[in-house]
Amino acid sequence: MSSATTVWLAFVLSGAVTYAQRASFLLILGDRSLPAPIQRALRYVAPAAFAAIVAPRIFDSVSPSELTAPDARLIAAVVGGVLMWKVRNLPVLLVGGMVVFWLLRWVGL
Amino acid sequence: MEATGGQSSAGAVKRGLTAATALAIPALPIGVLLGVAIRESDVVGNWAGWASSFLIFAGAAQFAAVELLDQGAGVAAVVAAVFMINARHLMYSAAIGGRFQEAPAWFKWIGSYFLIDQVFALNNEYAADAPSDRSLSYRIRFYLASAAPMASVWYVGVGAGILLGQFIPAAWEIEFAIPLMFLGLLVLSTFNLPGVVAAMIGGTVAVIGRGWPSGSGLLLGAVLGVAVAGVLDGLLSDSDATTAVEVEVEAAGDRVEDTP
Repeated sequence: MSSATTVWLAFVLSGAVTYAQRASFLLILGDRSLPAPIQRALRYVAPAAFAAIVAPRIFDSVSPSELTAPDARLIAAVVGGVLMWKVRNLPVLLVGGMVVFWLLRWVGL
Repeated sequence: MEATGGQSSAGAVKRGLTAATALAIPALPIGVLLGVAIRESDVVGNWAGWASSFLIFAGAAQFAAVELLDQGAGVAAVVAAVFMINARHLMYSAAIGGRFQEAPAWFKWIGSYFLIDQVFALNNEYAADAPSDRSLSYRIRFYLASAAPMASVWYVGVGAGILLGQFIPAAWEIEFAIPLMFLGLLVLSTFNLPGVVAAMIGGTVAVIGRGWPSGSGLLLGAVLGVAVAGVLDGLLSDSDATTAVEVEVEAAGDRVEDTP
């Protein structure tokens, strides 16, 4: 297989797999309802998944032994999280978090 | 469609576009960075790379696919990695399925394509702008309107990165906007004790497993967090049903003015 064929085939099949995952329950659920315990658990997909996406990107450079050393991303994330908790406004979080992050980088963190 | 459309449905499109625009802006530089990675790849051609934005339409999975292909991986390895990285969409689909059970087939086929993280965040049961007491017609319009800015920004951003190359200085570390955005979505979607537990388990496991192949740490963290929170929710609502409901109602009221 030429490398161009490999690339296109990989992208087309990856797209099909991703679409199938997104369509899975939307299409097959039909008139049926999921069992109550499953429904209860699914209410927590958003916090569990978003935390799992965020945490490794913030703690990436911080190992347990280095937790005492200040880290620009960690501090900016804490400030941004508190800000978000207060104002509940995404643009404010993004601007505030990035400004704090750049200031910390600028002072050498 | 329901007859209750009319005025409120026009509002749905406007609200959907507005809410999603705040999420689409931080996605733009990430799309550009992916475009730069595609341009610099010796294996992935520019057209194929741009096409992957339409075919896969998932940032992390596309980055991984380009990187793997660059390292000489075969089709099966790439598809398996994409399956793992995107497996959380199975949960999104299950969580959102009930809200659109009565929706027409065309919407389910089209809507599925757009079920990315941000669209799920804006359209799940507890999202502020399209609550469940809105008509189905309103929720469908809001869903599609919230998907449009995300998709446009992604296609344009990746294309711009391929065409224009590296015009964002790496020193700015602009990619930090993405964890910040997901942090905001996390705050908005966490409104009771089981939610906090779900987030702590998901985050902790993902950090421990950040070196595991194909994002399996993320996936395991999300699955464990959801499972434990579901059990905890069941225990809490059995023992003290009223309190759990009250907390939720309070939090739902709080979230009405989430997005500008």
